[in-house]
Amino acid sequence: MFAQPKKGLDTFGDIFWPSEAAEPILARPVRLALTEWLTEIWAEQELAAVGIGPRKRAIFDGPPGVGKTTLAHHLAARLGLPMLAVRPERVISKWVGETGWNLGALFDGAAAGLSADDGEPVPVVLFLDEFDALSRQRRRGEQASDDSRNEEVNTLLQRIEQHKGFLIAATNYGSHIDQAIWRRFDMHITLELPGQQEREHILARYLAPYGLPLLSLRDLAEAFETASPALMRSFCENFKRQLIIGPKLHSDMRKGAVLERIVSAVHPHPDMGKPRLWTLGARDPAVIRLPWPLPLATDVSELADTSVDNIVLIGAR
Amino acid sequence: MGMGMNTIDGRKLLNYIERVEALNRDIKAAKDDIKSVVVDAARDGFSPKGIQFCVKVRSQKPREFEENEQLRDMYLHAIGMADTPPLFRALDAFAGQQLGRDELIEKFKELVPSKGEITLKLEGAAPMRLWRDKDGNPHAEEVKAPKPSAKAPAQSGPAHQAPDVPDVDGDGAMELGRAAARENKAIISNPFPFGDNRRPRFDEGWRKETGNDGFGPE
Repeated sequence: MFAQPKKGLDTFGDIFWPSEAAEPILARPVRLALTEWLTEIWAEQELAAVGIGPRKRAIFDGPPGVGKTTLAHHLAARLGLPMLAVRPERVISKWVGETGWNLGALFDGAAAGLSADDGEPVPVVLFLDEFDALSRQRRRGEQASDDSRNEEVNTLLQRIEQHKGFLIAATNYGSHIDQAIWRRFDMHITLELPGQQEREHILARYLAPYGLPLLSLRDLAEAFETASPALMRSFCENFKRQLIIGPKLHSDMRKGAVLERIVSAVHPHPDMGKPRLWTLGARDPAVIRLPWPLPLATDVSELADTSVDNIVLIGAR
Repeated sequence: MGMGMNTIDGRKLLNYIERVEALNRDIKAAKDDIKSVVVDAARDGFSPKGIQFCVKVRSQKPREFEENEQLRDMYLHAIGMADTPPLFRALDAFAGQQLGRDELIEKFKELVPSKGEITLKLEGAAPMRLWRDKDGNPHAEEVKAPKPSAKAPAQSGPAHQAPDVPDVDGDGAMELGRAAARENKAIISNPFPFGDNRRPRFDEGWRKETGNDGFGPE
């Protein structure tokens, strides 16, 4: 009764194609490591000549919403490969034996690759999001399900080790990951919450086609201290939504009222700390200095950075 | 109402009825016990359906089980639901007997239909063609197999249009990367596929033109 038909790769997650990738916004040390990685992968033949190969397995560690998936997708797209974002709930089964079976089917499928439109199989970058769910630390078995969970972690270890393709794991909780598994990754990259400069870039990107002059953008970015990129994105999207929908609803379109509405609709995760904007609301100095009505980027003479315009167009999805 | 008088032996009958009732209670208790064992197993992560299936299989005589399996296979095959028809499964069992190649060929000779032939492919050996001559005598000879495709069959993804690959050399690819950067195109608009040596050159060109590593604004 366990003999099920071979499951397709997409039963275990979603496939992200290279053309759909967005540009990440990263801090300096991380981008150096990643550039090195790409260069290494592209120099595979030269490396093989001296008897080594490029690193193929990376683990990203960082709080929710810092863009681990965006980054993995971007890396896959830089390589020109599709990425399979594995959903743990579709792999983990409550029945003894089935999770291991699923893991086997997943890794076998990833090794065989996906066939593109011309029928030639292309390798797949495996992205194991919420990796902690798959690889919780092994425990001393008290009941069969504990034994079987340990067995699953062993299966996972084995499959990760044997996997020839690229594999990126992401986790919010590095400490929940079995040590033996952690060691099997060639690269550990910790993604931090964005700093002031990154916040400016992120806000500029997601506010487009609107734009802010240098100083007000800087103020607004300061008001977002401790915010994750995901929060900033949803703030900006709500902002734009309000600017379009508000007048249709005859809402109060004064600056303070609009900002209050957004701030009450978008909330940072309770564990992540509250940015200043959420404490002060419309009284925040950044709001007070925000030009109103919000100008279009093309009408702002001194944009924060000449490359922002560039990036905005690139990043627009 | 008291016990009937001058009629059948009520006392004896009642005795039987009570014995049956007691046994019925036992059955119910045993059934409840079984249920709680299965619940325990499920709590431990074992599928109840799987357990019940195993219990059923173990309760049958081996012969009986095999017959049932074959019947089931035949039925499933008849309605188009079986992945391995019974004949093929029988042949698998054949192969499992660790017969030598020649012995296996001899066995297969018996199976050759009068109007048709069998091609037997064994690991590490050329395929054999088995057929019958006019007199019905089976023969075997080696055939040259068409080359099997080297790669494992890949799963098909959703329709995905790969960009056309431009016909340029490495320097040309780099120039294309520079041009893409000047035209404000994303670094991932790289038209060269994975494994193509020109892909890194395009990437390099884009990075040189913008002075950026492609991981977002600095």
